[in-house]
Order: sequence, then structure tokens, then C-alpha cells
Amino acid sequence: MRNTLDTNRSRSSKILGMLSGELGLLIILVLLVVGFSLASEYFFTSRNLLNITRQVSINFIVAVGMTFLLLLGEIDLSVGSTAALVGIVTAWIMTATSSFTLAVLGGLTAGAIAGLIISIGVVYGRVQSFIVTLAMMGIARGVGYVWTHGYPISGLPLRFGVLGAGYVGSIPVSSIVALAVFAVAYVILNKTKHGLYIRAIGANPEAARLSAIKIRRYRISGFVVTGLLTGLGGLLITSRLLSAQPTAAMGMEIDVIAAAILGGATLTGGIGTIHGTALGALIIGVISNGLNLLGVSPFYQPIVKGLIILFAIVAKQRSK
Amino acid sequence: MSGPIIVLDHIEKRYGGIHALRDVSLSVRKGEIHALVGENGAGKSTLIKVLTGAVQRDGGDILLDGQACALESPVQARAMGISTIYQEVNLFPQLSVMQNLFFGHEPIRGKLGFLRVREIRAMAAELLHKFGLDIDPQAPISELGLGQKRIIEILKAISLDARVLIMDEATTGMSQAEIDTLFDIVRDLKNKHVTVLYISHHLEEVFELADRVSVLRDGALVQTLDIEQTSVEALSRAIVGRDVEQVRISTHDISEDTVALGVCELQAPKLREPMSFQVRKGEIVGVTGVIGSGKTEIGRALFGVDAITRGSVEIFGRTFTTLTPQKARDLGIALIPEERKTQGVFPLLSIADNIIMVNIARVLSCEVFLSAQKKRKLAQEAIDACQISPGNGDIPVRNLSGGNQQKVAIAKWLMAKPRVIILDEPTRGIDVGARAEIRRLIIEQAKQGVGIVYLTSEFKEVLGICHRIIVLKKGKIAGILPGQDAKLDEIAALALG
Repeated sequence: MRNTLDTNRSRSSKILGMLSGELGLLIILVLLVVGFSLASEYFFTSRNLLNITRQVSINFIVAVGMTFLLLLGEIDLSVGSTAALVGIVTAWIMTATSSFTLAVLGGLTAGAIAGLIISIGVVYGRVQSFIVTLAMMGIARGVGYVWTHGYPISGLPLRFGVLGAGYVGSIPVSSIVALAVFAVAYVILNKTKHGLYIRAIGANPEAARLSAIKIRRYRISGFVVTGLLTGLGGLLITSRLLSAQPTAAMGMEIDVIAAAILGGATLTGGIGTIHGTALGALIIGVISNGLNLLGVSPFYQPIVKGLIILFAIVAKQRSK
Repeated sequence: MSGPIIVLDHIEKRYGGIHALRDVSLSVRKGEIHALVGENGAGKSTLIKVLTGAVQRDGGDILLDGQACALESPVQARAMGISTIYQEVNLFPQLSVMQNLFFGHEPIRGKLGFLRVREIRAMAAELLHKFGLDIDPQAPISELGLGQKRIIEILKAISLDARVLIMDEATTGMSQAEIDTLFDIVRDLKNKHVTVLYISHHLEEVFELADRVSVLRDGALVQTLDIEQTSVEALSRAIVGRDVEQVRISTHDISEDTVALGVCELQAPKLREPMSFQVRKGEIVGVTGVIGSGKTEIGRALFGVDAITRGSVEIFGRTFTTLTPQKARDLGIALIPEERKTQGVFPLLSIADNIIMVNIARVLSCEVFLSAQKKRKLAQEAIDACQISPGNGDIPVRNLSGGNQQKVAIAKWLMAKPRVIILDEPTRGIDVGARAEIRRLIIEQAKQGVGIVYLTSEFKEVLGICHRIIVLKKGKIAGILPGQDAKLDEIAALALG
């Protein structure tokens, strides 16, 4: 009797949780799409919708890394700066060697190294990730400025643009890349030991330690993965513009963290999903795109985004 | 002697099914030092919480200076002159002594609230001088020793015109010299007509300080005695109950003489003396002592959580001087930690996820992916072995009762088939039925040849299950008793005396 009662309760609480969680996000997303479709005839066209997926892809890819970190109870504020620096590294290798492969590998490696440096500060230096990545945010941006003297590295060969601006049929290459990242991250987080341990460490670090889990290894991996995905994001930006800007991805951390938090992740660790983050990124992307189509001044967009995030978080708190 | 300042009249308190205070009537005289003693769970904390307004009594009256009072909140209790000093220091470490002393009632100037700094400094200096203390009023609290912090807490209470000072295990972690100074201050308070209610596990402190002592047991007041009329032995007996007839489960015989765990001259944080003892295969060794006696620290050192500063640990013939939790696990040691919710289980995760946490290798396919099928099978095995209810592996652990959460904490380690199991307070705060089941599980494991270390601060918990009982006092071994015929009062005398 007691068993069925408990199961029933957990089922109903699950449904409630989903309404305030992913299902609620899906409803918001649908409402936004319907609303913008009614307001603008250009919105609900296959071209525009695919365009949205391309616009969202970079933000989403980096937000996947951020979700890993938030699950661990950590954060990375330096993603925008690192993405810009990776762009510079990539463009520099591309112009120096004109090897597409080397440029891509070099960019990804640079991102991963940035993450590794942060993780050393956090895990071995025992400094909070907020502080370490705040410092890294300044350092990476500054290195980019010094390297390029503030000028963009332009004139990259057209073939380099395939990642960020290319299409397979009518589907943007960067959307396909984002989909692949989604699939891999989803499997890691839900189907592997690595994912379970990350969640466990963020939820309850003391219990994880007493369960003989090698906490350091997993925390380091979280920063390196985020660095790698930030590198991928930086690559896509550079590829799309065919130019590396030292001022690229300014404020990216805000959109990225917002997507993950909107998707259900918390700053206290242990909670968050990849599909939630995907929905969060899509909502933010749809808002930007829709407001653009309606001709709303870009100056208003951050205000609207901020309000929506606040609303979502307050709604979530209330449902508890 | 003047009349009573506090009169407790037939106080009742229940938490759900637990009867925490049963008809407690007690009167505390004005200006006396009144000690309150009793085992963990005897009701001391609840009584203090009632007196400080932190919890509401279910029945009975409280008279303060002859006036009936409601005591509905800590703020009200403080306004009526009742201040409390807890085991943990409640000061702002970054602020100075004088800022702490008058925090919340600083003399201010004007409507904007500018602090009268000079006045505060003078008042602080005067208060410190009054008690003959050589402490700089401008020193930050973080620079003071534990003993001085306690004294500042007392002075803070005095500055609030406390008439009754409740001290709850206030000497925890203090050195003898610090305790001596503290006691001088407390005696000084008595001369200044402040009444002190002194709660302690350490009977020698009670005999040194108190005028009278009240004993609580199982939520009821056993007796109140003048300190001259009693002795350590008599008081220990009153605390544990001389009429408690132990239910003896005959402990099983140990078939082999192999040493499963040898602790050799072990030194670790908070252990005052090198410690040595052995646990044989199939043996249950109880380790007991009051809070702060070092039992938790032994468990943490043996599992590699705290560093071993000196000495060694021998596990089935192999000697180690350093351990990590990973190494300990690989050697077949399991630790069921003290704090269930923060250390033992992951409340947000499902039963199955909790179980596989230390058995991950058994549920992987291709060494990478979690196999849902293997996971379900292992979870079911654990649920059956430990009779976890509800028996559905998908339910989050936070939805389970305390006893079942503890079973999950134990089950995840049992599935790893350990050779030595260390349990820290495995039955704390759980109901009678779950307690019996957990004790049965422990005995079952021992019968299969696992060496068991059973750590608990409740003396009666080690009876009827252990082959040997190690009694700790202040980080040292006070005595080792054979488990078969150990008596509760013997344990109490060793641990409290």
C-alpha cells in the first residue's frame, strides 16, 4: 500500500516538476514561435527557422560545456574571451600554414588548454572558479588584443568558411555540428559513469568523496570540456566571418549562462540537463531573431532577455 | 539561598512519534550553577530549545522569576534575560571584540546611526576590566583562541543584561588552561547573581563547577541532587539507568583468528594519544565515547578521509601509513559516515544511482556505458538484501524515511563486498524497527567474516552486538571491555568520569 502511494506521489511530483521544467520551457518556446509567426510573416519560414538554429548553435555548444560546469557546482565566466582568443589562434595558423586541419586542431587545443589552466587554478590552487575565470576573462581578452594590436585577422580563404557559413543541402553546417555536440553530451551525461559522477559531485561533494570518487579528475574534465567547446564556438564564429576579431564574443558568457540556467541548471550544482539547456538556448535565440524581424532596436534586446530570464527563474522558484 | 528564577512545570514535548520531554518539572535557584546531564537523546537539547524559545512546548508552564511566560521565540527569550552559549562559537570572526560585544545594541548618534565608537571602546574596556581580562577590545575575534572567544560570548550575554546563562557543551575543544579560566569567569558570574544552567557530558566539570545537578533520561527528569550528595559513580548510574536490563543477543563465536584490521599507534587530527587496537575477521568492535571523544576521527582516518599523521593501519597483513578513500575501497574497507544526508547518500539521486555509485564497474557495458539492465539488477539485489522500502530503485532517496535512507547508505557499500566495514552512528535518529534491521544486517555481515568497527556516541548501542567495546574519552582510549558482559554503568564511568 505504502509502496504504491509513494510511487504515485513520485509520479505526480515528476509531472509537476516537468511542467515547471522542460515541459514549461517547451510551452514558452511554442508560445514565442506562435507569437512571432503572427507578428511577422517572415518568421515561420523554413529559411528563417534554419537560420535560427544556426544563430543558436554557437551559443548552445558553449552552453553545453557550461551545463557540465554548473552540474559540478562550478562556472566559467571567461568563455567569451577564450572564444575570441581561439579565433585569433585559428586564423593565425590558417594564414601561416594554410592548413585547414591544423587550424581547426590548433583552435580546439587552445580552448582545451585554456580550460586546463583554469582547472589547475580551481582544483590545485583551491580558488573559486568564479574568481579564476574572472581573471581568465581579462587575461584571454588582453592576450588577443596584444597579439593582434587590436586589429582583426582578415582575408581567410573562402574554404575556411564552410564550418560557420556552409550548408549541407539547406541545413547549416554549424547546426549539424551543434546537433552532434548535443548527442554526444546527452549520452555522456545520461548513459555513462562520467555523467553520473559529475552530477553526484555537484549535488553532494562530501558524499562523493566518501564514495571513493576521484573528485579532482572530474572537476578538471569539466573545465577542459568547456574550454574545448568554447574553442569550437570560437572556430565557428571565425569561420562564419572569415576573420578573427579580438573583440568577438563580447558578453557571450551572459547568453551562455542564461541558456543553461533557463534550461534548469542551478548555480549550486547537481541539477541541469542537456535538453533543458538546448531549450534555453533556443528560447533566447528565438527572442533575438523575432525582435530583429519586428524591427525592435537591438538596444532593447538585452532588456527583454534579462526580463525573460528573471521571469523564468521566479516562476521556477514559485513552483517549488 | 533565594527563590527560584526558573520553574519548569510539567513540560511536555513531542516530535511526531518521539516523546522528547515527558512531564519535566525542574526549578533553578537564583544565582546557582545548575548542571544538566544525560546521554545523547535524553532530552537536554530539547529542554534548552524550549527554554530559549527555539521550539514550542506542547504542554506545561514556565515561570521566570515567578511570572508565567510564553517563550515564543529566541528574541523574546533574550529580551527576558535568557542567553545561550552553544557548542559552536557564534561571533563574527572579522569584527573586533568590541563590535561583537555590543552587536545589535550599539550606542548610536543621530537618526543616521553613526556609531559612538569611543563610547563603545570605553564600554568594552570596562567590561573586560571588570572580569580581569587582558584582551584588546580592538582585536579581531579571529585572532583570539577558542577559550577567549567563549569568554567574549559570555561577556556579550552579560552586556545584554542576561539573568540566566545557558551553556551547552561550552568547553568542547578547549584546553585545560582555557577551561580553568572559563570556570573562573563562570564562578565570578555567580557572585554577580547570574544564574548558570550548565550542560555537559563531562562529569568532572560538573563536580568542579555546579551547585546542583539534574539528570535527564529518555525525556524524563530522573532526579535533582545537591552536588555534595552525589558521586561520579552514582551520577553515571543515574544517567544510564541502573535498572536497565540489557537484552542480550548472544554474540556469535569468531571462527578465525585472522586480523582483518590492525590499528597501530595511529595518530590523526583530534586523537590525543596514539591509538592501537585490532579487529579480527568476523569480529564486531564497538567504539564509544561522548561527542568530541574522537570516534568519528578514527573512522575518517581508517578510510583515508583525514590524513594519518603517524602510525599505521594493517589490512589483512598489509601495512599502510597513508590512505585515500580510493585506496581504502580497493583494499575492501567501507565507511558508512556519520551524517546520512550530507555524507552517506545523494538525496536528489534515485536509489539505483546511489547504489551504483561505489559499484560502477559492475553496471558498465563496453566499460563506458551504464547498462540500464545491470543497474536495475544491482539495485534490486541491494533493495532485497537490505529490505529497502519502497522497493523501487527509481525513487529519489530524499523521499525515503530516515531508516531507509540509512539502509541505502549501507547497501551501496555491501554491494561492493567489503572485508572491513566501519559504521559511524548507523542507528542515529531512526525508528526502532529500522534500527533492529540494521543491527541484524551488521551481525549477518560479521558472521560472513567481515570485520566490523561500530562507532557510536550512544553507550547502549554497543551492548548486545559487540565482541569488544573500546571506550574513548577526550581522544584517548579510556578502557577496553569484553562485549559479552559489559555493563552500561561501566561504560558510562569510563567515558564520563
